[in-house]
Amino acid sequence: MAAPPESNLPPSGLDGDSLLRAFVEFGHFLRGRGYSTVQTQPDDLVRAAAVVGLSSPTDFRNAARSIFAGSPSQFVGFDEAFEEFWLGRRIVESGMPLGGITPHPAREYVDDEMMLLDTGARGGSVKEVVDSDPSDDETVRVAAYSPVESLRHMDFGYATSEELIQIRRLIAALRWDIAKKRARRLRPASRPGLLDMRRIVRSTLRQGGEPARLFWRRPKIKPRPMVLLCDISGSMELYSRILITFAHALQRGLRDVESFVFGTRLTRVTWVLRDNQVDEALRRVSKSVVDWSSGTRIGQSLHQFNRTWARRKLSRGAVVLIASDGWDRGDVTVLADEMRYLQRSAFRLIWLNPLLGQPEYQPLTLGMQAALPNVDDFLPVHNLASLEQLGSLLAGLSGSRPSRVGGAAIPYPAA
Amino acid sequence: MTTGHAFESIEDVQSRLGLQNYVADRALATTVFLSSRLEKPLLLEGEAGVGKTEVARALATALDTRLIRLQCYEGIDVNHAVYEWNYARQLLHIRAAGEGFDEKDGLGQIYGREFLIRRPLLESIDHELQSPPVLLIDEIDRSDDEFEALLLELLADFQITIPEIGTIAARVPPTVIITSNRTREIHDALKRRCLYHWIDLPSVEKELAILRARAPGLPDRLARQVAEFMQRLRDEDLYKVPGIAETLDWARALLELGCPELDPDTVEQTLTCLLKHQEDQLHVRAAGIEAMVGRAAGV
Repeated sequence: MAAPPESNLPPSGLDGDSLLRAFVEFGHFLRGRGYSTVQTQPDDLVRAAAVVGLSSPTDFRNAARSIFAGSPSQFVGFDEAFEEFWLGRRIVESGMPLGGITPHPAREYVDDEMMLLDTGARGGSVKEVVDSDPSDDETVRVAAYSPVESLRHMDFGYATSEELIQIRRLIAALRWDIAKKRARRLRPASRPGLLDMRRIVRSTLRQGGEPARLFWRRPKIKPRPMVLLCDISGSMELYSRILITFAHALQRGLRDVESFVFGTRLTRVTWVLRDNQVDEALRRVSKSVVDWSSGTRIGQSLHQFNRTWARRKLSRGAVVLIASDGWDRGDVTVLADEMRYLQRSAFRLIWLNPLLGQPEYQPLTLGMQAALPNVDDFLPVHNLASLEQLGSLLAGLSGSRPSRVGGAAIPYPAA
Repeated sequence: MTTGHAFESIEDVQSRLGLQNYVADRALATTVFLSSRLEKPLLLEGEAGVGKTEVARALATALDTRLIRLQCYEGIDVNHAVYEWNYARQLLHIRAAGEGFDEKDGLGQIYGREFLIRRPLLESIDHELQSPPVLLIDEIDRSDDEFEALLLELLADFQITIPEIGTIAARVPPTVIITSNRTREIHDALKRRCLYHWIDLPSVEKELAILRARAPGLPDRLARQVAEFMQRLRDEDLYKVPGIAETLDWARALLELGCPELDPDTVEQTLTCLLKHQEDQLHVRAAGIEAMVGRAAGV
């Protein structure tokens, strides 16, 4: 990026009051650019301006950046935003007043839970019996509904659009559960674990100095994080929309899920899915993803994931799901290498293949052959029943990584 | 010092960090200066090995004060970060008082400061030092979100509340440096309380300056070749791009080997200093070390 011209930015002729107003406007401007600004920041900028002065635009810009930026992209993109706003300011300065500023209320915090209410899943003509025992989370497994039996085994790829609507409702109604992992934080416990000295001392006090009763602490339990990588290339056309619906449902049902789609390259869609109802989310994903229904380069896409995201997303025992038919037009040695790396980084690497639902299917494509040696589980994902199967696998994952010595632990018999 | 401030100016920050062999560009120096004047914590993000932790170390030495370091990890909690009661001592005290121990009175006795074990965060605001210490909260992204919530009170008001004692406030706030490798996103509430700075991988000039400051024995020609080679290496498609820490390790290795200038064989032998993934080493070997060395040496 070219260095911004050393113009007289910000306008140095302004008095303190109009300066603050200009700074508040600047904050609003940045908010429009996706910065999460708060009211204290313009105040900080006034204080900063007093400390570094306004004589050097560069110093002032650096100061403003340290106050408003909150991520590398904002940090790097700040100069441009700064320049754009303050260049506009000069026109204002020469002519019109800065204008009345209505202070923005602090950004409303949208409650995630509220947005989880997917109306499509509740109403409708499908008679579904939702397991009505939400109080006991531990026992609720994925099979918390009983849809029309034929729909359960209907291959997504062969369903009519009517049936697809019903299937999507049923997917949205699926309840997900993923095996927990032991977190490092401790919480009070009734069973023996580590001594809770703080409580022991307190009770000893009450007992007049005799440590009569022991109290315990044990590690907290947290659900495992999950990453979903979904192939939306041309060969997956029959399934990709359903799989996005599935990703959407997973994200709403579990606490920590990251979703990506790929064709020729990888796109992160976590936020699109998180912030929108399923239909809107689908529309936005198809809009934001350029290679929807184009060729596949699985290896390249995984490569992108491994470089950019793996260290950030897989450090805490994450389960990784790849949904793809394994038709790879790229270099399969790249795919094999990236799968090896991915499996090493993941707690569990599960490959979901919609074609595996067809009885005559054999995973013979070069891509599938390259990937399989580094897959922990190889499962179909072609109908609701297969999603249930996946659900019970996720809920019942054991506490340790699968043994990967001497090949993968693939339940699917070698063809 | 004449004004009573830690730093006189941005230039002052830059030159005093320079004296500690820390090469800070003007943007970073500005932020450090502001952090000191506005009494706001400084959140430093950047790839591993770009010198985030070093900022705190250099600052502490430049300010001639203590560095109090809190290394974060998954599961870190109030007992490890802020304070813990000295339970053994409390129990002994209760026992020693025996029958005469009065619960009402005793509470005040055994929850006094002499029974308190101070962990880094408490120490940083409740200290006997001449000048306020530098508090380094290292790799905050390794902790859980619960821990971030715990930090909010400290970072906003430089005070800590202990239920049994009350609120302890800092007389003079410490200089707070928080680092993150971005393995996860830091919560907005915490970011807002801090000034933010992203430390990028260095340019050739900056890396050369760092090499001169940190590996003084390195012949100038070799230092230049090392800096140039690093730029080319970072352009390669790697799982883990080497940072400045790796450059310095490598430079020291070259120095130990008595290598007068960069040659493909030496690079080959010392590649493990720079690349910690076998895939990356294979990739670079396949890409052609000789050509990379040639281009770096030709400059």
